[in-house]
Amino acid sequence: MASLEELPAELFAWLTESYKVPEMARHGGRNSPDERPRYEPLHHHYPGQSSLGQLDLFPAEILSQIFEHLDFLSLGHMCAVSRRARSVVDCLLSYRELLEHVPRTLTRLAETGLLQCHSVLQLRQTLHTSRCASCLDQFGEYLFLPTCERPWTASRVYVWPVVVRKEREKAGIGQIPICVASRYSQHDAVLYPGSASGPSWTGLMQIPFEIRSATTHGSKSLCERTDRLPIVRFPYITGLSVDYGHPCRGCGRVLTTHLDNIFSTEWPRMYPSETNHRVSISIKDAGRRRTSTEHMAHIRHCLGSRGILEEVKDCSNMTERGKRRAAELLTELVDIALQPSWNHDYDKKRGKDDQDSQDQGSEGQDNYEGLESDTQTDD
Amino acid sequence: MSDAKLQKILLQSNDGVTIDVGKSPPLDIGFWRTPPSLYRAVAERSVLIRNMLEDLGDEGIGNQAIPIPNVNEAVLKKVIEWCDHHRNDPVQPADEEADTRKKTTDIEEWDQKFMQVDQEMLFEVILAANYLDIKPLLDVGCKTVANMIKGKSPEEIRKTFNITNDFTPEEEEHIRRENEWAEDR
Repeated sequence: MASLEELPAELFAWLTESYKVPEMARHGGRNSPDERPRYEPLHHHYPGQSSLGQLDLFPAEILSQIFEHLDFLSLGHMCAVSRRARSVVDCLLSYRELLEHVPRTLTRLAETGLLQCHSVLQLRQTLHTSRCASCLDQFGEYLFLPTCERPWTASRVYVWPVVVRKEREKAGIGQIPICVASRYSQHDAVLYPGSASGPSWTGLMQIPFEIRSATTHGSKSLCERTDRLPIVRFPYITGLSVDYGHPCRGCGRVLTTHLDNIFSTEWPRMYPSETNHRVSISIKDAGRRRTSTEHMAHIRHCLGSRGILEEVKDCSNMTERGKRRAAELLTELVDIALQPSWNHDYDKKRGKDDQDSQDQGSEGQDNYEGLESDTQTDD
Repeated sequence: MSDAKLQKILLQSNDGVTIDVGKSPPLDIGFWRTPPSLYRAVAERSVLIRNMLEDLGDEGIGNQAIPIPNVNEAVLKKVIEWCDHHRNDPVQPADEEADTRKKTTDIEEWDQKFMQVDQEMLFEVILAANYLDIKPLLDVGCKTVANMIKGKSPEEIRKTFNITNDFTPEEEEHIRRENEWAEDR
């Protein structure tokens, strides 16, 4: 089975390179949900006499600190106060960042009436944290709307009774019952009363997970529709790149290949125990998403990914068509949709290097070693 | 170097009043003597003063009062009151700013009471905290002002802070439409 180490150096360089271009992941990325940007920068000219009243005492950095503690609803009201207020809000970095990157999340928060529960600062901090709130060692790909925290999987989510609007208005966010449901048994749910300090993901995780028939009103109707789940896919932002996480195609392949076998009694005897172990790991993690860095590290030793890489290696030595197929496979593997120009460049480069590699085969190997040590330090 | 010298840190407000910050007396029981760093804890809540004390050393300061030109007596006393109450809080390292700023908008009960002052005083305290570089106090102040804005309509915000509306009716309508998505539906 081919490993990443056996790939030609420039192929690997290209593989790594494709992660360093944030625009690719953002615009061409297959994994980015269709979120239409809502943010429009302000083009009007504001005359100097517009004021913020007594708030004008504060320098810009204090104003932005104050406004960061506001929620989007209040910021919207602030915008409508005066021209100066609006320009200050518009210059607020976290505000712009959120409108630019997660407009759909904000719309969902508004729909569920939770927009006023989280400050811009809170949302931004979650946006810049990748870890799941409960297990801390996995990438949390969703945002749990009521608490503004990241759970890593949607299969076991806390269903917040979105429909019980009247109760919410009466009691305030802290007193709202929260029910725990499983995606696979939607009519079973447990309802927990909200605590005075407000619902917290980490707090709730300590309650032993049990699925019982919900007896309390409201929960059943809630669970009937999955789009009512109070979660939304939430990217992770580092530097300039927006990361929605990458599911591993290799693991998916292992899952589809072995799905029938794992239930057979012959399973333990099918492969050597090491392979067996790795297959079960792949199956376990098949639905999971990883950050770009984690994903790159993962495909280096993932069983399914190595299978794909082997195919790539076979294809890329052959014809024009083979190369295209190789590029397709690699695209699938790294989970980034390539722009045609990139394919073209890659093809050209490959063609040229094929001739060179006859003479300088060992040099390519050296290049690759340099790359590898780089990747390891990143990890 | 005598202890008497060490415990005294004098601050001078812009109206010329000198305030002794090292007011909690050092303990001297048996083998235990309060280390100088402890009776400086109050003044050292301010990063500005902490850095100054580090740079100048004890000899450099002597018995001189440190002038605080941007802050008047009443505000300085208020700030010192806060520092005194929080003197035992762990000092936050400067580079972990993002983590130490608490996610919640909750304010401690004592701080809430502390901030129940008129608007002018509140603003002065925030400015003083900014000048003296007392991050947690600045944070509490900002949260308090944010709470004054939260849940208010634009008209109510204008009234609270005495702001004049300079939008034309068309612009106001435009902004209202722009914010429509955020309103509770």
